[in-house]
Amino acid sequence: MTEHASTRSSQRLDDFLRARPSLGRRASSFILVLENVIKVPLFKCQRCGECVLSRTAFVCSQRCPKRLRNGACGGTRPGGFCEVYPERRCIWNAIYSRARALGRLAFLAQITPAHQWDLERTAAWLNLVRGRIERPHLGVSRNVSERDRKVAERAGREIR
Amino acid sequence: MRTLREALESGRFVVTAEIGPPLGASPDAVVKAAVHFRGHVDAVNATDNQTGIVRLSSTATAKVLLDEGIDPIVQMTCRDRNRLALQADILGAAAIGVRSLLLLTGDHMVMGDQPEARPVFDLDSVTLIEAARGMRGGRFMNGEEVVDPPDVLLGGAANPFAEHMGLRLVRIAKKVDAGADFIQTQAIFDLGRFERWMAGVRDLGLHERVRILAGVLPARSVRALTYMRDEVAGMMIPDELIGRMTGAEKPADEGVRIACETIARLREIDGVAGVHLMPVMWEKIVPRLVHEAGLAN
Repeated sequence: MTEHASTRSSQRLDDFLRARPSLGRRASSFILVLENVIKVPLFKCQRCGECVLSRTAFVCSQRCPKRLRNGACGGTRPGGFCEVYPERRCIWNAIYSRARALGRLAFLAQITPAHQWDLERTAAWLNLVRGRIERPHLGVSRNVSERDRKVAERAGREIR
Repeated sequence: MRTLREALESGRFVVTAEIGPPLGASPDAVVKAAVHFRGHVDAVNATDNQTGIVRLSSTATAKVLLDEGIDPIVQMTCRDRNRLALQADILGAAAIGVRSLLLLTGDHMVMGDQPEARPVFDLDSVTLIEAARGMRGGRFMNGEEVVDPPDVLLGGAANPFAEHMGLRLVRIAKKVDAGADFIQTQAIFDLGRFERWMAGVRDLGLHERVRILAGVLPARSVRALTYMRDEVAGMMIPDELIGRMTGAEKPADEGVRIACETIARLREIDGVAGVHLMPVMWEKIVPRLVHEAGLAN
């Protein structure tokens, strides 16, 4: 399991809930209801439990039929349509366009770690405060390296 | 035996090719095709259930190629296997003498003939390359020690023709960061777009960190081209090319001529380290193509 730098209080909460798995599950279900009310209509959230919306310019990457976290795949059809559903726009193309518009391409240049599938259908917000998943990337200036910036700048110069 | 490693280290122009494994349990088709590759190319890819159709496994095909004196590149996709199976197969391939892997996301099964199968996609190509690099360095994905690490070169694929160009640059940058030693590209017909992609690759200095093998597909007939355009994911075939093939007296000869012209232009592009030949269902053309394109050594 991936370890994320967590504060002492989040470590304590995680230890507390790990010792009480049934309470942990109930807390997760409860928070997931709240989370769904907001994130499903707003982002078409797929409830992966390990939210990476802040990396993907707030377009949910888990709508990709291959559930790619480092897309797009090489099967994208002419015009930027999905390999699997030819009538749909490739979600990674949508992410790319939005990231370019919002100045968040540098986050796409970073490798998103493999998904922790054991967190599927659990509350990402709870996982966050328990320190089980990475913190959201807010400001571009703080979270990206010189290399990420360089890739983003060069990629962003391409028109289509 | 010519090998990919030796070719990459020598700095000369590299030539790889690929074979689609047979639809049955007999190795005969691979053995038969091997004569068209042996001594003509540095290494041969064994595809992994290509286009989502069940075939002889890529690792088993690689064993047949090894026995025939050919250095295999084992393709592994994330479509059919989770991280446990993939890590096990990386060990397995290395144990039988495989020294190169091409790590891919993989076409979705809806492209194949058993679309009801469960899609796996536990990892993606980028995280699979990263996992393989970790194993080569002595660590499984969970951080546990690999007692005898696999000594393998790691490859990734790139499709410079799919939209958006910027995203295609981001992708190759990530694969290089993940640890790819070489990149094999999708078949190139639109040289203008390929050159644009390469310009971006050079601006990012990626050509100095990874060896780029440009995909070349010799087409035997108009039908072969239209089949690939319509059935193979990510394949972009310009209408002018189909027009040129249609107008040709002997389409197969025209196909070789077009491939040779493409190779000649690719060799002029700064940062292209070699070519990857994709003689789909036409393995016997490889010796002639290598000779006529001036790739023989």
